[in-house]
Amino acid sequence: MIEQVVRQVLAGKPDAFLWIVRSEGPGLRSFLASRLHQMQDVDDLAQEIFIIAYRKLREFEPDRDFGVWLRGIARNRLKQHFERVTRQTASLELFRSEVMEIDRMAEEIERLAERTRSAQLLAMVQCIAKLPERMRMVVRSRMDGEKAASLAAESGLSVDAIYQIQHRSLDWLRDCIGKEMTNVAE
Amino acid sequence: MLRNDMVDALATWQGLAVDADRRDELLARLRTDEVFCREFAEALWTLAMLRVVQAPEPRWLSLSEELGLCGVEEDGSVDEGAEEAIMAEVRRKPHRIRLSLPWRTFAMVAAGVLALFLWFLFIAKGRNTEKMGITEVLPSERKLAVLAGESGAVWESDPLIAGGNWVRPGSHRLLAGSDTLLFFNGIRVRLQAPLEFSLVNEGTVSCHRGAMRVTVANGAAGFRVNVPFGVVTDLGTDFAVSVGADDATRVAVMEGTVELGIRQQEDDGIRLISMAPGEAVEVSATGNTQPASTNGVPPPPDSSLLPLKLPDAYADLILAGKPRHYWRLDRMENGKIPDVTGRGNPLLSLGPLAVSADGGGRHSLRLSGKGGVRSQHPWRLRTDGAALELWFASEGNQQSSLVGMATRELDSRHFAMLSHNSYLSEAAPRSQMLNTVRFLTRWPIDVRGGVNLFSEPVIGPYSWHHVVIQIKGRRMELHVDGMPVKVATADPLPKTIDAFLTLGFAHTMGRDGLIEGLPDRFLIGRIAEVAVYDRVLSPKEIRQRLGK
Repeated sequence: MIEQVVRQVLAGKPDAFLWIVRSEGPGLRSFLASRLHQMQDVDDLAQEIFIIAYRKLREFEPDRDFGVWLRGIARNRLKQHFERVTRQTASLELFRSEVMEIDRMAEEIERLAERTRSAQLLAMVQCIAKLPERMRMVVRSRMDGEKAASLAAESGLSVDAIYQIQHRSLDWLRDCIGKEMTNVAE
Repeated sequence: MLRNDMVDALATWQGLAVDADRRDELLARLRTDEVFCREFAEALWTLAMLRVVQAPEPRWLSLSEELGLCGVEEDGSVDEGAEEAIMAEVRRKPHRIRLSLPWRTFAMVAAGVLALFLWFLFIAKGRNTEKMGITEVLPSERKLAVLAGESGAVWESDPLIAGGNWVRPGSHRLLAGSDTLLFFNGIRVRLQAPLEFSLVNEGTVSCHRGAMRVTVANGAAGFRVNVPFGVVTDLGTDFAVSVGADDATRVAVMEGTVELGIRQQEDDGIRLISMAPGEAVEVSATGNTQPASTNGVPPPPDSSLLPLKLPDAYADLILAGKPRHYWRLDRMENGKIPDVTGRGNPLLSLGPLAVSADGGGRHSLRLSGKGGVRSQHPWRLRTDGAALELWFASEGNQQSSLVGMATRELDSRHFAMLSHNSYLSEAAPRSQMLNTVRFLTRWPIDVRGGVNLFSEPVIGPYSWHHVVIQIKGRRMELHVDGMPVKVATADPLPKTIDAFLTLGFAHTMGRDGLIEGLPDRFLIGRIAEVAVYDRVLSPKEIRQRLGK
């Protein structure tokens, strides 16, 4: 399917590229969000990556997986991003960049990215609605360091407990998505 | 230890300050412990997906400039040639889906999502009202509830998201009159002016000042109303809440059970009080309770639906398409709904039902969950081209049969079914998806098996939806509200089938294999404008039904 769209774009119909954006956008954004702290950075970089992909579309080989090709661009762009932000803000992104420099981690993320389809994001939406109340509260708070502290203050729990709940929630969601995607019946 | 390290690693990744030694320790474990590394990657990936589905949809403005498409999102000027080429490609490759195999379900859903992207890109942009693309089901769009839009309601500022009936999340002030919030999961909240409230999420509102009454449909227990003293949690019921100027809150229970969670002033404790039908209590802002009266609570939510809006001369449009049978369902005489083609195949009333006006004054068949209709005669359905279309709106919260087609009268062995899921019990098969319509064909006729098509999960209650199902050879098609065609390959069908039609319920498998079965899966809601054809409808014809 994507080959058809690429041909349309290369034949002078740039609007067809928006189909690619909508098709690959959620996966690319998830990939970037697995590395970056701010969603604003995720979306800015995703846009840049799509622009680069559009400009380099003739280099895309039709027998390749488009998502893999896109993440190749993303990895290069991320490297530049980390070089820049590491100079600017030493510690905040440092742990993330060091984590992602671990080869096995990068391989695991790539494996997960390859397996992820938009349907799983849809399933996640349904699973969030099914989360037990306290887990949903934590999941919906879109935590970062400061949010976790304020959430802890609001709920009367410790920051550690908040992260424990978040971890359990991620396990729960993963299990729920798995069931949504695999359990079938008449 | 793994769990503690995991939590710490996730917390550190999200910006929690840890000392350098601990950070190095975590990094060392990630480098050396393969299992830990894999588990961390999976947690991280789940977290990343979570962040994406909860983030707003990006606008990609620079990209639009790069593509030379500035404004395309707004004016819908998408190249139709590209649309046709891509849609032709989609249509050229129908795929066979059997729900007996997990991966096929996965493929179906993934294909559906892609098709929805296409629809969003090439069709939805032209709509001035709803954009029901993939973004609609993501929380980032925060489309949580619609407003019934009752006359006489005066709002301080427009509570609606532009271009639809969806209520904007956040705070609102109803200055005069009343209105009803209709949630996707079947919860209805009657709002009584003067009222200040906030729409928080799909299961929560906050009542700051004024009165509201909540009716929670069967199976949707757990709805919460935040109030000054804490929270009122529904356990499957009908209750009213009113908050006075001094933050004193009265809670009255009409049906079912409600749980009050009253915050302790002196510490973090929460006192839980269970309330039964007929009970009312007033709780001060400091948590003191005293009995109260149930008098003067707001009336229950108006159950009327959003009105059905059809293009002008709709019946002429349908009749011009030469349907085999056409039941408008806008009148009933002696228990019969006429076939306006004049071919003498009326629908017969079964059980309690009525033809009545909806909120906009248009008459349609109202089903209360205890009855339905069936065709008096079968007709010879030609599988080399046949279509059925209808409008429906669900008012309840259940798994409902919209259409059943069998070769015998009231037979539970359907060869085709169309159903709607607006609520799923714990016992429901997991292949059923909430807020979808499902088109099923089975041949040979049976009570199990068959090939299914599911719509995108955006078909909630209270609003009208247009559905077309059609068969051409083995090709099954499902069209919902003009969304992109969903296609599957049916098992081989005979060239002709004598079809008995039921609307609003289905006979499900009887005990001991009795094929007559029992009536079940009743629709609570409305059906209108049902037509069957001896041919398939074109996409253009279907769009015309929606006024496009």
